[in-house]
Amino acid sequence: MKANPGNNQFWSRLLQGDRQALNEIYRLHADALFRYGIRLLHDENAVQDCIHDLFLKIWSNHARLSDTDNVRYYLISSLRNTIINYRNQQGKIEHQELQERDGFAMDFTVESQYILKEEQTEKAQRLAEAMNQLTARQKEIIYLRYFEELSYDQIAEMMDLSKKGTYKLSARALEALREILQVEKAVLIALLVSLKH
Amino acid sequence: MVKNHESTMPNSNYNNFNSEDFLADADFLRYVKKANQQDVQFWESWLKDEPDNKAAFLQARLQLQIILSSKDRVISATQADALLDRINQSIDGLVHKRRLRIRRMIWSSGIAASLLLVLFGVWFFNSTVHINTTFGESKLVLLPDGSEVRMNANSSLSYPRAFKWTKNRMVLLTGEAFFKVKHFNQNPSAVKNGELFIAQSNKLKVEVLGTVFNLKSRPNVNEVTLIKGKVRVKAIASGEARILKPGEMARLGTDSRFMVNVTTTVPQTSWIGNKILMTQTRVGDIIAEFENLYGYKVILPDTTMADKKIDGTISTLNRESMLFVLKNILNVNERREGKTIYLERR
Repeated sequence: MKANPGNNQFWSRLLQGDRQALNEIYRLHADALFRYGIRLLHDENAVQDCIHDLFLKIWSNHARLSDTDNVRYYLISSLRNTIINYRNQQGKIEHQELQERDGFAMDFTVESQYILKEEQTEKAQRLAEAMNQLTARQKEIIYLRYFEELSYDQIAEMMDLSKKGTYKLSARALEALREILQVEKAVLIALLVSLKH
Repeated sequence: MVKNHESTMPNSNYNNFNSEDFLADADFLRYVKKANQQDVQFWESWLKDEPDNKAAFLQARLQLQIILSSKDRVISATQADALLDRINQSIDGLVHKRRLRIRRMIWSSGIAASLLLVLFGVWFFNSTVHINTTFGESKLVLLPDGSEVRMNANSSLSYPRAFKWTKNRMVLLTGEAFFKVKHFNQNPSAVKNGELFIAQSNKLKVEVLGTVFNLKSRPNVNEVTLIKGKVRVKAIASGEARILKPGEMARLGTDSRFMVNVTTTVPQTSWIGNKILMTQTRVGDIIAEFENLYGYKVILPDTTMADKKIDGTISTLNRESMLFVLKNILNVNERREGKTIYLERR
Protein backbone atom coordinates (compact mmCIF):
# COMPACT_ATOMS: atom_id res chain seq x y z
CA MET A 1 0.00 0.00 0.00
CA LYS A 2 2.84 2.32 0.87
CA ALA A 3 5.15 0.77 -1.69
CA ASN A 4 7.54 3.37 -2.92
CA PRO A 5 9.52 2.17 -5.93
CA GLY A 6 12.56 4.26 -5.02
CA ASN A 7 12.47 3.00 -1.46
CA ASN A 8 13.81 -0.51 -1.93
CA GLN A 9 16.26 0.62 -4.55
CA PHE A 10 17.91 2.88 -1.97
CA TRP A 11 17.97 0.04 0.51
CA SER A 12 19.73 -2.36 -1.86
CA ARG A 13 22.19 0.40 -2.75
CA LEU A 14 22.79 0.94 0.98
CA LEU A 15 23.55 -2.75 1.43
CA GLN A 16 26.33 -2.29 -1.10
CA GLY A 17 27.80 0.55 0.92
CA ASP A 18 26.28 3.58 -0.86
CA ARG A 19 26.42 6.58 1.51
CA GLN A 20 24.16 8.63 -0.75
CA ALA A 21 21.47 5.94 -0.46
CA LEU A 22 21.66 6.19 3.34
CA ASN A 23 21.08 9.93 3.03
CA GLU A 24 18.07 9.37 0.74
CA ILE A 25 16.62 6.85 3.16
CA TYR A 26 17.02 9.36 5.98
CA ARG A 27 15.27 12.10 3.98
CA LEU A 28 12.37 9.78 3.16
CA HIS A 29 11.79 8.57 6.70
CA ALA A 30 13.17 11.15 9.13
CA ASP A 31 9.77 12.81 9.65
CA ALA A 32 7.98 9.57 10.44
CA LEU A 33 10.77 8.41 12.73
CA PHE A 34 10.73 11.65 14.65
CA ARG A 35 6.92 11.71 14.92
CA TYR A 36 6.91 8.19 16.31
CA GLY A 37 10.00 8.61 18.48
CA ILE A 38 8.81 11.78 20.18
CA ARG A 39 5.62 10.00 21.25
CA LEU A 40 7.73 7.30 22.89
CA LEU A 41 10.45 9.44 24.41
CA HIS A 42 8.90 12.97 24.86
CA ASP A 43 12.33 14.60 24.51
CA GLU A 44 13.36 16.14 21.20
CA ASN A 45 17.08 15.92 21.79
CA ALA A 46 16.90 12.36 23.04
CA VAL A 47 14.85 11.31 20.00
CA GLN A 48 17.35 12.98 17.68
CA ASP A 49 20.16 11.16 19.48
CA CYS A 50 18.36 7.86 19.01
CA ILE A 51 17.76 8.51 15.30
CA HIS A 52 21.44 9.47 15.01
CA ASP A 53 22.50 6.24 16.71
CA LEU A 54 20.11 4.21 14.58
CA PHE A 55 21.53 5.49 11.28
CA LEU A 56 25.08 5.12 12.54
CA LYS A 57 24.35 1.52 13.45
CA ILE A 58 22.67 0.85 10.11
CA TRP A 59 25.76 2.23 8.37
CA SER A 60 28.20 0.21 10.49
CA ASN A 61 26.24 -2.97 9.85
CA HIS A 62 25.25 -2.34 6.24
CA ALA A 63 27.25 -5.31 5.00
CA ARG A 64 25.43 -7.64 7.38
CA LEU A 65 21.87 -6.32 6.92
CA SER A 66 19.39 -8.29 4.88
CA ASP A 67 17.14 -7.02 2.16
CA THR A 68 13.72 -5.82 3.27
CA ASP A 69 10.53 -5.13 1.38
CA ASN A 70 9.37 -2.58 3.94
CA VAL A 71 12.03 -0.06 4.87
CA ARG A 72 9.60 2.04 6.93
CA TYR A 73 8.69 -0.94 9.07
CA TYR A 74 12.35 -1.89 9.48
CA LEU A 75 13.29 1.65 10.55
CA ILE A 76 10.38 2.12 12.95
CA SER A 77 10.89 -1.19 14.72
CA SER A 78 14.67 -0.56 14.89
CA LEU A 79 14.08 2.91 16.33
CA ARG A 80 11.76 1.37 18.90
CA ASN A 81 14.56 -0.96 20.02
CA THR A 82 17.06 1.90 20.04
CA ILE A 83 14.74 3.96 22.23
CA ILE A 84 14.12 1.04 24.59
CA ASN A 85 17.88 0.58 24.97
CA TYR A 86 18.31 4.31 25.48
CA ARG A 87 15.62 4.33 28.15
CA ASN A 88 17.16 1.33 29.88
CA GLN A 89 20.50 3.12 30.01
CA GLN A 90 18.90 6.29 31.32
CA GLY A 91 16.90 4.19 33.77
CA LYS A 92 20.11 3.14 35.46
CA ILE A 93 20.84 6.77 36.20
CA GLU A 94 17.42 8.19 37.09
CA HIS A 95 15.10 5.43 38.08
CA GLN A 96 12.35 7.19 39.95
CA GLU A 97 11.06 9.52 37.21
CA LEU A 98 10.79 6.75 34.68
CA GLN A 99 7.30 5.46 35.25
CA GLU A 100 5.26 8.57 34.33
CA ARG A 101 7.46 9.48 31.41
CA ASP A 102 7.38 6.00 29.92
CA GLY A 103 3.92 6.22 28.39
CA PHE A 104 3.14 6.52 24.71
CA ALA A 105 1.98 10.10 24.24
CA MET A 106 -1.29 10.19 22.35
CA ASP A 107 -4.04 12.68 23.25
CA PHE A 108 -7.36 12.66 21.49
CA THR A 109 -9.59 15.67 21.02
CA VAL A 110 -12.67 16.63 19.06
CA GLU A 111 -11.10 19.94 18.11
CA SER A 112 -9.47 18.52 15.06
CA GLN A 113 -9.23 19.24 11.38
CA TYR A 114 -10.84 15.82 10.86
CA ILE A 115 -14.00 16.64 12.75
CA LEU A 116 -16.51 19.16 11.51
CA LYS A 117 -17.75 21.86 13.89
CA GLU A 118 -21.24 20.37 14.04
CA GLU A 119 -19.80 16.97 14.96
CA GLN A 120 -17.95 18.35 18.00
CA THR A 121 -20.76 17.46 20.38
CA GLU A 122 -20.66 16.53 24.01
CA LYS A 123 -21.02 12.89 23.04
CA ALA A 124 -17.98 13.02 20.75
CA GLN A 125 -16.18 14.76 23.57
CA ARG A 126 -16.94 11.86 25.89
CA LEU A 127 -15.76 9.39 23.28
CA ALA A 128 -12.46 11.25 22.95
CA GLU A 129 -12.03 11.39 26.71
CA ALA A 130 -12.74 7.68 26.92
CA MET A 131 -10.10 6.99 24.31
CA ASN A 132 -7.63 9.13 26.19
CA GLN A 133 -7.87 6.59 28.99
CA LEU A 134 -6.59 3.71 26.86
CA THR A 135 -3.30 2.25 28.05
CA ALA A 136 -0.01 3.42 26.54
CA ARG A 137 0.38 0.09 24.79
CA GLN A 138 -3.10 0.27 23.27
CA LYS A 139 -2.40 3.80 22.10
CA GLU A 140 0.85 2.70 20.51
CA ILE A 141 -0.89 -0.09 18.65
CA ILE A 142 -3.54 2.36 17.41
CA TYR A 143 -0.82 4.76 16.34
CA LEU A 144 1.15 2.14 14.41
CA ARG A 145 -2.03 0.84 12.80
CA TYR A 146 -3.70 4.11 11.76
CA PHE A 147 -0.84 6.59 11.48
CA GLU A 148 1.94 4.40 10.20
CA GLU A 149 -0.47 1.93 8.61
CA LEU A 150 1.57 -1.10 9.60
CA SER A 151 -0.11 -4.48 9.38
CA TYR A 152 -1.19 -6.38 12.48
CA ASP A 153 1.56 -8.90 11.69
CA GLN A 154 4.22 -6.22 11.76
CA ILE A 155 2.86 -4.58 14.89
CA ALA A 156 2.70 -7.94 16.64
CA GLU A 157 6.28 -8.72 15.65
CA MET A 158 7.77 -5.42 16.73
CA MET A 159 5.81 -5.19 19.97
CA ASP A 160 6.46 -8.81 20.80
CA LEU A 161 2.82 -9.87 20.77
CA SER A 162 1.15 -12.79 19.13
CA LYS A 163 -1.00 -11.63 16.24
CA LYS A 164 -4.06 -12.87 18.09
CA GLY A 165 -2.96 -10.83 21.06
CA THR A 166 -2.89 -7.70 18.95
CA TYR A 167 -6.41 -8.29 17.75
CA LYS A 168 -7.46 -9.08 21.26
CA LEU A 169 -5.84 -5.91 22.44
CA SER A 170 -7.70 -3.69 20.01
CA ALA A 171 -10.93 -5.61 20.64
CA ARG A 172 -10.27 -5.05 24.32
CA ALA A 173 -9.62 -1.43 23.54
CA LEU A 174 -13.06 -1.15 22.03
CA GLU A 175 -14.47 -3.09 24.95
CA ALA A 176 -12.81 -0.70 27.35
CA LEU A 177 -14.39 2.18 25.47
CA ARG A 178 -17.81 0.74 25.97
CA GLU A 179 -17.17 0.21 29.65
CA ILE A 180 -15.99 3.75 30.08
CA LEU A 181 -19.04 5.09 28.32
CA GLN A 182 -21.10 2.64 30.39
CA VAL A 183 -23.55 1.91 27.61
CA GLU A 184 -24.66 -1.16 25.72
CA LYS A 185 -23.28 -1.67 22.26
CA ALA A 186 -26.70 -0.96 20.72
CA VAL A 187 -27.04 2.22 22.72
CA LEU A 188 -23.54 3.24 21.74
CA ILE A 189 -24.31 2.75 18.07
CA ALA A 190 -27.55 4.69 18.44
CA LEU A 191 -25.61 7.38 20.20
CA LEU A 192 -23.09 7.53 17.43
CA VAL A 193 -25.84 7.65 14.85
CA SER A 194 -27.52 10.51 16.66
CA LEU A 195 -24.21 12.34 16.69
CA LYS A 196 -24.29 12.50 12.93
CA HIS A 197 -27.76 13.93 12.73
CA MET B 1 -14.30 6.73 -9.49
CA VAL B 2 -16.44 3.84 -8.35
CA LYS B 3 -14.93 1.74 -11.05
CA ASN B 4 -11.50 2.56 -9.71
CA HIS B 5 -12.57 1.26 -6.31
CA GLU B 6 -13.96 -1.89 -7.78
CA SER B 7 -10.73 -2.55 -9.60
CA THR B 8 -8.60 -2.20 -6.47
CA MET B 9 -11.03 -3.98 -4.15
CA PRO B 10 -13.23 -6.20 -6.31
CA ASN B 11 -14.51 -8.33 -3.42
CA SER B 12 -15.35 -5.68 -0.89
CA ASN B 13 -18.98 -5.47 -0.06
CA TYR B 14 -19.28 -2.51 2.25
CA ASN B 15 -22.96 -3.23 2.97
CA ASN B 16 -21.91 -6.20 5.15
CA PHE B 17 -19.18 -4.32 7.05
CA ASN B 18 -19.37 -3.72 10.77
CA SER B 19 -17.42 -0.85 12.33
CA GLU B 20 -14.35 -2.99 12.96
CA ASP B 21 -14.32 -4.06 9.30
CA PHE B 22 -14.40 -0.41 8.27
CA LEU B 23 -11.56 0.41 10.64
CA ALA B 24 -9.48 -2.35 9.04
CA ASP B 25 -10.17 -1.20 5.48
CA ALA B 26 -7.38 0.63 3.70
CA ASP B 27 -9.68 2.58 1.40
CA PHE B 28 -11.88 3.68 4.27
CA LEU B 29 -8.77 4.79 6.14
CA ARG B 30 -7.54 6.78 3.16
CA TYR B 31 -10.96 8.42 2.83
CA VAL B 32 -11.00 9.64 6.44
CA LYS B 33 -7.33 10.59 6.49
CA LYS B 34 -6.94 12.35 3.17
CA ALA B 35 -10.52 13.18 2.17
CA ASN B 36 -9.66 12.97 -1.53
CA GLN B 37 -12.43 14.22 -3.76
CA GLN B 38 -12.85 10.82 -5.39
CA ASP B 39 -13.17 9.03 -2.07
CA VAL B 40 -15.57 11.61 -0.60
CA GLN B 41 -17.78 11.32 -3.66
CA PHE B 42 -17.75 7.50 -3.46
CA TRP B 43 -18.71 7.32 0.22
CA GLU B 44 -21.37 10.08 -0.10
CA SER B 45 -23.04 8.19 -2.88
CA TRP B 46 -22.76 4.95 -0.86
CA LEU B 47 -24.43 6.67 2.12
CA LYS B 48 -27.20 8.08 -0.04
CA ASP B 49 -28.61 4.59 -0.45
CA GLU B 50 -29.15 4.46 3.32
CA PRO B 51 -27.36 1.12 3.89
CA ASP B 52 -28.35 -0.92 6.97
CA ASN B 53 -24.86 -0.59 8.43
CA LYS B 54 -24.78 3.20 8.17
CA ALA B 55 -24.49 3.42 11.95
CA ALA B 56 -21.43 1.15 11.92
CA PHE B 57 -19.88 3.32 9.24
CA LEU B 58 -20.52 6.48 11.23
CA GLN B 59 -19.15 4.96 14.43
CA ALA B 60 -16.04 3.83 12.65
CA ARG B 61 -15.58 7.21 11.02
CA LEU B 62 -15.98 9.12 14.27
CA GLN B 63 -13.63 6.77 16.06
CA LEU B 64 -11.05 7.14 13.31
CA GLN B 65 -11.52 10.90 13.27
CA ILE B 66 -10.86 11.03 16.97
CA ILE B 67 -7.87 8.73 16.60
CA LEU B 68 -6.41 10.97 13.91
CA SER B 69 -7.05 14.04 16.05
CA SER B 70 -3.95 13.22 18.05
CA LYS B 71 -1.46 15.85 16.99
CA ASP B 72 1.96 14.91 15.78
CA ARG B 73 5.04 16.72 16.98
CA VAL B 74 7.15 17.20 13.92
CA ILE B 75 10.79 17.86 13.33
CA SER B 76 11.52 21.07 11.44
CA ALA B 77 13.28 20.84 8.10
CA THR B 78 16.33 22.69 9.48
CA GLN B 79 16.51 20.36 12.47
CA ALA B 80 16.18 17.33 10.20
CA ASP B 81 18.99 18.64 7.97
CA ALA B 82 21.18 19.37 10.99
CA LEU B 83 20.60 15.87 12.28
CA LEU B 84 21.56 14.40 8.90
CA ASP B 85 24.77 16.45 8.95
CA ARG B 86 25.52 15.14 12.41
CA ILE B 87 24.94 11.56 11.27
CA ASN B 88 27.26 12.04 8.31
CA GLN B 89 29.95 13.57 10.50
CA SER B 90 29.72 10.68 12.91
CA ILE B 91 30.04 8.21 10.04
CA ASP B 92 33.13 10.07 8.81
CA GLY B 93 34.49 9.87 12.34
CA LEU B 94 33.65 6.18 12.42
CA VAL B 95 35.61 5.50 9.24
CA HIS B 96 38.50 7.59 10.54
CA LYS B 97 38.39 5.85 13.90
CA ARG B 98 38.43 2.42 12.26
CA ARG B 99 41.48 3.40 10.21
CA LEU B 100 43.15 4.70 13.37
CA ARG B 101 42.24 1.52 15.17
CA ILE B 102 43.73 -0.65 12.42
CA ARG B 103 46.88 1.47 12.36
CA ARG B 104 47.11 1.31 16.15
CA MET B 105 46.56 -2.45 16.00
CA ILE B 106 49.42 -2.87 13.53
CA TRP B 107 51.62 -0.69 15.71
CA SER B 108 50.75 -2.42 18.94
CA SER B 109 51.16 -5.89 17.46
CA GLY B 110 54.54 -4.81 16.11
CA ILE B 111 55.52 -3.48 19.51
CA ALA B 112 54.26 -6.65 21.16
CA ALA B 113 56.23 -8.80 18.71
CA SER B 114 59.47 -6.89 19.24
CA LEU B 115 58.91 -6.89 22.98
CA LEU B 116 58.50 -10.66 22.84
CA LEU B 117 61.66 -10.87 20.77
CA VAL B 118 63.54 -8.75 23.30
CA LEU B 119 62.19 -10.82 26.16
CA PHE B 120 63.17 -13.98 24.34
CA GLY B 121 66.63 -12.53 23.75
CA VAL B 122 67.02 -11.50 27.37
CA TRP B 123 65.94 -14.94 28.46
CA PHE B 124 68.06 -16.70 25.83
CA PHE B 125 71.23 -14.80 26.63
CA ASN B 126 70.78 -14.89 30.41
CA SER B 127 69.47 -18.33 31.12
CA THR B 128 71.60 -21.35 31.83
CA VAL B 129 71.14 -25.00 30.94
CA HIS B 130 71.53 -27.34 33.90
CA ILE B 131 72.06 -31.08 33.55
CA ASN B 132 72.37 -33.36 36.56
CA THR B 133 73.04 -37.04 37.14
CA THR B 134 71.89 -38.80 40.29
CA PHE B 135 73.71 -41.53 42.18
CA GLY B 136 74.62 -44.45 39.94
CA GLU B 137 73.54 -42.61 36.79
CA SER B 138 75.62 -41.67 33.74
CA LYS B 139 74.64 -39.31 30.90
CA LEU B 140 76.03 -38.36 27.53
CA VAL B 141 75.46 -34.66 26.80
CA LEU B 142 75.84 -33.12 23.36
CA LEU B 143 76.72 -29.43 23.65
CA PRO B 144 75.39 -26.86 21.11
CA ASP B 145 78.86 -26.60 19.47
CA GLY B 146 78.99 -30.35 18.85
CA SER B 147 81.28 -31.18 21.78
CA GLU B 148 80.45 -34.31 23.81
CA VAL B 149 80.38 -34.58 27.57
CA ARG B 150 80.06 -37.94 29.31
CA MET B 151 78.87 -37.23 32.85
CA ASN B 152 79.64 -39.62 35.70
CA ALA B 153 77.14 -40.26 38.52
CA ASN B 154 76.31 -37.57 41.10
CA SER B 155 77.53 -34.73 38.87
CA SER B 156 76.13 -31.53 37.47
CA LEU B 157 76.97 -29.62 34.34
CA SER B 158 75.76 -26.15 33.35
CA TYR B 159 76.39 -23.87 30.40
CA PRO B 160 74.81 -20.69 28.95
CA ARG B 161 71.84 -21.29 26.67
CA ALA B 162 73.50 -18.96 24.15
CA PHE B 163 76.56 -21.22 24.19
CA LYS B 164 77.47 -20.57 20.55
CA TRP B 165 77.06 -16.78 20.86
CA THR B 166 79.31 -16.23 23.88
CA LYS B 167 82.95 -15.16 23.67
CA ASN B 168 84.27 -18.44 25.04
CA ARG B 169 82.59 -21.80 25.24
CA MET B 170 82.27 -22.10 29.01
CA VAL B 171 80.90 -24.98 31.07
CA LEU B 172 80.76 -25.46 34.84
CA LEU B 173 81.18 -28.89 36.39
CA THR B 174 80.91 -30.46 39.79
CA GLY B 175 81.55 -34.18 39.97
CA GLU B 176 83.29 -35.92 37.12
CA ALA B 177 83.03 -35.78 33.34
CA PHE B 178 84.89 -36.89 30.25
CA PHE B 179 85.12 -34.19 27.55
CA LYS B 180 85.54 -34.52 23.80
CA VAL B 181 85.81 -30.88 22.72
CA LYS B 182 85.24 -29.87 19.10
CA HIS B 183 88.25 -28.17 17.62
CA PHE B 184 87.61 -24.89 15.76
CA ASN B 185 90.96 -23.15 16.03
CA GLN B 186 93.00 -22.64 12.81
CA ASN B 187 95.87 -20.52 14.11
CA PRO B 188 96.95 -21.28 17.71
CA SER B 189 98.77 -17.95 17.97
CA ALA B 190 95.56 -16.02 17.25
CA VAL B 191 92.62 -17.58 19.09
CA LYS B 192 89.35 -16.16 17.90
CA ASN B 193 86.04 -15.77 19.76
CA GLY B 194 84.31 -19.07 20.33
CA GLU B 195 87.41 -21.13 19.71
CA LEU B 196 88.47 -21.39 23.34
CA PHE B 197 86.65 -23.93 25.48
CA ILE B 198 86.73 -23.54 29.25
CA ALA B 199 85.68 -26.24 31.70
CA GLN B 200 85.61 -25.01 35.26
CA SER B 201 85.03 -26.64 38.61
CA ASN B 202 85.10 -24.98 42.02
CA LYS B 203 88.87 -25.58 42.29
CA LEU B 204 90.12 -26.00 38.70
CA LYS B 205 89.94 -24.24 35.38
CA VAL B 206 90.75 -26.09 32.16
CA GLU B 207 91.31 -24.06 28.98
CA VAL B 208 91.39 -26.00 25.74
CA LEU B 209 91.13 -25.51 22.01
CA GLY B 210 90.03 -28.98 21.11
CA THR B 211 91.00 -32.05 23.05
CA VAL B 212 89.88 -35.11 24.93
CA PHE B 213 90.27 -34.93 28.69
CA ASN B 214 88.76 -36.05 31.98
CA LEU B 215 87.94 -33.55 34.70
CA LYS B 216 87.29 -34.83 38.18
CA SER B 217 86.11 -32.52 40.91
CA ARG B 218 85.11 -34.51 43.97
CA PRO B 219 85.42 -33.70 47.69
CA ASN B 220 88.37 -36.08 47.99
CA VAL B 221 90.13 -35.35 44.70
CA ASN B 222 90.52 -32.66 42.01
CA GLU B 223 92.35 -33.77 38.89
CA VAL B 224 92.60 -33.35 35.13
CA THR B 225 93.75 -36.15 32.87
CA LEU B 226 94.65 -35.33 29.27
CA ILE B 227 94.08 -38.03 26.66
CA LYS B 228 94.61 -36.05 23.45
CA GLY B 229 95.74 -32.54 22.42
CA LYS B 230 96.82 -29.83 24.78
CA VAL B 231 95.27 -28.14 27.83
CA ARG B 232 96.12 -25.42 30.26
CA VAL B 233 95.08 -26.19 33.84
CA LYS B 234 94.80 -23.49 36.42
CA ALA B 235 94.30 -23.77 40.16
CA ILE B 236 91.71 -21.15 41.10
CA ALA B 237 92.96 -20.73 44.69
CA SER B 238 96.71 -20.37 44.06
CA GLY B 239 96.60 -19.20 40.45
CA GLU B 240 99.19 -21.82 39.47
CA ALA B 241 98.90 -22.82 35.82
CA ARG B 242 100.33 -25.88 34.04
CA ILE B 243 100.31 -27.00 30.43
CA LEU B 244 99.55 -30.70 30.08
CA LYS B 245 100.66 -33.10 27.39
CA PRO B 246 98.66 -36.21 26.46
CA GLY B 247 99.08 -38.94 29.07
CA GLU B 248 99.67 -36.49 31.88
CA MET B 249 97.48 -36.09 34.92
CA ALA B 250 97.47 -33.00 37.12
CA ARG B 251 96.17 -33.49 40.62
CA LEU B 252 95.59 -30.64 43.03
CA GLY B 253 97.33 -31.09 46.37
CA THR B 254 96.02 -29.87 49.70
CA ASP B 255 98.34 -26.84 49.29
CA SER B 256 96.48 -25.90 46.08
CA ARG B 257 99.58 -26.83 44.05
CA PHE B 258 99.69 -29.26 41.18
CA MET B 259 101.35 -32.63 41.12
CA VAL B 260 101.75 -33.79 37.56
CA ASN B 261 102.18 -37.50 36.88
CA VAL B 262 102.50 -39.54 33.74
CA THR B 263 99.73 -42.09 33.44
CA THR B 264 98.34 -44.62 31.03
CA THR B 265 95.08 -42.62 31.44
CA VAL B 266 93.27 -45.96 31.67
CA PRO B 267 92.49 -45.85 35.44
CA GLN B 268 91.27 -42.26 35.14
CA THR B 269 88.82 -43.07 32.37
CA SER B 270 87.78 -46.61 33.32
CA TRP B 271 84.60 -45.21 34.93
CA ILE B 272 83.20 -44.75 31.43
CA GLY B 273 83.13 -48.56 31.23
CA ASN B 274 81.67 -48.68 34.78
CA LYS B 275 84.87 -50.07 36.25
CA ILE B 276 87.53 -49.04 38.73
CA LEU B 277 91.03 -50.21 37.81
CA MET B 278 93.18 -50.53 40.92
CA THR B 279 96.97 -50.56 40.78
CA GLN B 280 98.29 -50.09 44.30
CA THR B 281 95.26 -47.95 44.94
CA ARG B 282 94.48 -46.81 48.48
CA VAL B 283 91.37 -48.40 50.02
CA GLY B 284 90.39 -44.92 51.24
CA ASP B 285 90.26 -43.65 47.64
CA ILE B 286 88.10 -46.58 46.52
CA ILE B 287 85.71 -46.03 49.41
CA ALA B 288 85.59 -42.31 48.56
CA GLU B 289 84.73 -43.20 44.97
CA PHE B 290 81.91 -45.42 46.22
CA GLU B 291 80.66 -42.49 48.28
CA ASN B 292 80.89 -40.19 45.24
CA LEU B 293 78.97 -42.54 42.99
CA TYR B 294 76.24 -43.72 45.35
CA GLY B 295 75.87 -40.99 47.93
CA TYR B 296 76.52 -43.17 50.99
CA LYS B 297 78.85 -42.34 53.87
CA VAL B 298 81.15 -45.29 54.58
CA ILE B 299 82.85 -45.64 58.00
CA LEU B 300 85.90 -47.93 58.16
CA PRO B 301 86.69 -49.84 61.40
CA ASP B 302 90.09 -48.12 61.69
CA THR B 303 92.30 -45.68 59.77
CA THR B 304 94.97 -48.29 58.93
CA MET B 305 92.50 -49.99 56.64
CA ALA B 306 92.17 -46.81 54.57
CA ASP B 307 95.89 -46.82 53.79
CA LYS B 308 95.90 -50.42 52.60
CA LYS B 309 96.69 -50.69 48.89
CA ILE B 310 95.01 -53.11 46.51
CA ASP B 311 95.10 -54.19 42.85
CA GLY B 312 92.32 -55.43 40.62
CA THR B 313 89.07 -54.38 39.00
CA ILE B 314 85.72 -53.56 40.59
CA SER B 315 82.49 -53.06 38.64
CA THR B 316 80.72 -49.82 39.61
CA LEU B 317 77.59 -50.67 37.65
CA ASN B 318 75.61 -51.82 40.69
CA ARG B 319 75.82 -50.48 44.21
CA GLU B 320 75.20 -53.78 46.02
CA SER B 321 77.60 -55.82 43.90
CA MET B 322 80.30 -53.16 44.30
CA LEU B 323 79.78 -53.18 48.05
CA PHE B 324 79.79 -57.01 48.10
CA VAL B 325 83.18 -57.09 46.31
CA LEU B 326 84.62 -54.43 48.64
CA LYS B 327 83.42 -56.33 51.72
CA ASN B 328 85.12 -59.53 50.54
CA ILE B 329 88.39 -57.82 49.66
CA LEU B 330 88.50 -56.05 53.02
CA ASN B 331 87.06 -59.03 54.92
CA VAL B 332 84.42 -56.99 56.75
CA ASN B 333 80.71 -57.13 57.60
CA GLU B 334 78.36 -54.19 57.09
CA ARG B 335 75.78 -52.46 59.26
CA ARG B 336 73.56 -49.75 57.78
CA GLU B 337 72.01 -46.76 59.48
CA GLY B 338 70.13 -44.77 56.88
CA LYS B 339 72.69 -43.45 54.43
CA THR B 340 75.64 -44.52 56.55
CA ILE B 341 77.38 -47.88 56.14
CA TYR B 342 79.55 -49.11 58.99
CA LEU B 343 82.17 -51.68 57.98
CA GLU B 344 83.23 -53.97 60.83
CA ARG B 345 85.99 -56.56 60.96
CA ARG B 346 84.78 -60.14 60.72
